[in-house]
Amino acid sequence: MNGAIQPSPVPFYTVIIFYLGIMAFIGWYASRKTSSLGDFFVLSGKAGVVVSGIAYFSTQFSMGTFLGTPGTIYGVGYAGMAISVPGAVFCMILPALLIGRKLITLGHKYGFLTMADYLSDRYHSKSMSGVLGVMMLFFLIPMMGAQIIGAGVIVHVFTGLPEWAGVVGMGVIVILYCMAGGMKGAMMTDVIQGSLMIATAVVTFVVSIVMGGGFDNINHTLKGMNEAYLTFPGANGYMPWTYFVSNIVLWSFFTMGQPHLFTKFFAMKDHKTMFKAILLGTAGMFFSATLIEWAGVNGIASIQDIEKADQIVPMILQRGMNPFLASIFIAGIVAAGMSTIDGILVTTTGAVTRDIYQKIINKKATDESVMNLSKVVTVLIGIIVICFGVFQPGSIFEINLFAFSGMAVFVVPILFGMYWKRSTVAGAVSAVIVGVITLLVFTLVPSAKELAHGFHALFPATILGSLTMVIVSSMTQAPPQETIERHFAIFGK
Amino acid sequence: MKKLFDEHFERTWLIIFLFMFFLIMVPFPFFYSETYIPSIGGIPSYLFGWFAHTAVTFVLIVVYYRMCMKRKEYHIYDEEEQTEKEGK
Repeated sequence: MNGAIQPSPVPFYTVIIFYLGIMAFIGWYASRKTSSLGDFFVLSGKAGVVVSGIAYFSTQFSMGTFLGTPGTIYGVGYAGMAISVPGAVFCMILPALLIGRKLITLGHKYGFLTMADYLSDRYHSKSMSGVLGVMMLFFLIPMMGAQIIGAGVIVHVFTGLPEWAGVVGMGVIVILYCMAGGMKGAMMTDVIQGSLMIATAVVTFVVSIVMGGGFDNINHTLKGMNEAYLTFPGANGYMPWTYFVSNIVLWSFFTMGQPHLFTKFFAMKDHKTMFKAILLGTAGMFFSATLIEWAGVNGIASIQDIEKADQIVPMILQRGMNPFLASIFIAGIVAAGMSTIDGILVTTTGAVTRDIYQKIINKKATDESVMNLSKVVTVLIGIIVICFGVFQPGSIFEINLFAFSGMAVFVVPILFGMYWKRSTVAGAVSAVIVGVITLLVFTLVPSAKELAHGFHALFPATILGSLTMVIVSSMTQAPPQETIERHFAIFGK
Repeated sequence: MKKLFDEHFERTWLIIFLFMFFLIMVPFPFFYSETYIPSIGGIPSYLFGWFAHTAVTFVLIVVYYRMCMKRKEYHIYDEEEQTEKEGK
């Protein structure tokens, strides 16, 4: 335990138990209102503005955003804020423009519920469901694991208990309400969690300024410590221009490949809802990211006796507020992790039960049996995630980035499927395989990494994946005309 | 001109947003600076460059939304919802 941190277990337990109780109640309440498979997975396309907008941003923003990113920025300075701030405004409008508008139409017309529904129908092949399902298990379980690790860190810092206690506690609550309420429970809790996340960002920012003695004082101190905290590429050279560009593209354009965000478009009830959700979600994302990351910069000037950079936000709250208030806003960070896990857990469950089981293994399975199976699968995946969180194979930010990048490879089959009639299933599967291999090579092999010239590995992965898609699709048989008509004719004049 | 815009409505807006998207990546000193250019409160000026760019893009989203709402293809499911309500 870091000597600078003073555990305050009683206020923390009181607030967290109260907060988790509310979440559990919502999960139970949603379960009473969840009657169909469509409700369980995408709220049957009935989600309104507030639910859609806040759910989108609270699912995208995670423990990484509220603990990992400010922690990273603590070592970089203002340049580190380029991770999210300059690109935040594009987080929803780019996906909405490129795919969202069409997804709402396709969802309403053909009853698609998940990304696999879309891809397997577009490419006229169930194998797309299988590929996506396997990829989701491979990448999204670590993504959930990253969130749950954050819960362990918070519990450890605030109570002195071992991290596994926080991991197990958070895991059990998330499993319970996702198992009971599916997407309805997840999206309803997202609203509370998203609101708390915004409040936490605002309060942490204000407290960090007060602790630093105002902007003038903070920036004067930073300049005295190291002027590089105020310029690019940052104090430790983390943010050269190539990485600045990579981050803008990564956290906006590539969100299209994330199944848990992709699914949100099917849940929106109409285009008007989509636009209002974009405005609400974009504003929420921009303000939360800016304020929480800026707090990380301000923390450099006022908190130096820190053991782990990831502790900067909890320490700002702990030092600047009384224990009860600090615990309430720490619950906002727990909320960030929980809202990401619940969205992903429901989506991953869908991948196993609908995309692999119902479409490939047992085609005669009824919706009712799939829904019952979904609850069992949610528990099993949840247990694997808890184990992942207990063993902690890496840092929150590293695991999150790895998982996000892996799923982002799906941008290739999605965009080509939507805009190029000639793209085929063989092209799509090859593109995903080449994309993932390229991503791993450019991430893990230093000599290959140098070839990317400082850009993120997703850039070469996407370029090579796209080339593979074009070449293989050109050499293989196109999907039947009927399928092409279904996906393209409805958008014709 | 207006007719041309109407006919290529989606594409035009996609180009506008992609222009804004690539604009923020250009290493202008007000977006990306390797020297310290202080502004209000000593805050690096590129932060205000990002904020101004975000504000302009956000306004463009609002304009795009309003223009979309004047087009009938964006109201298909409003009618579906209306029919459902009437059915009840």
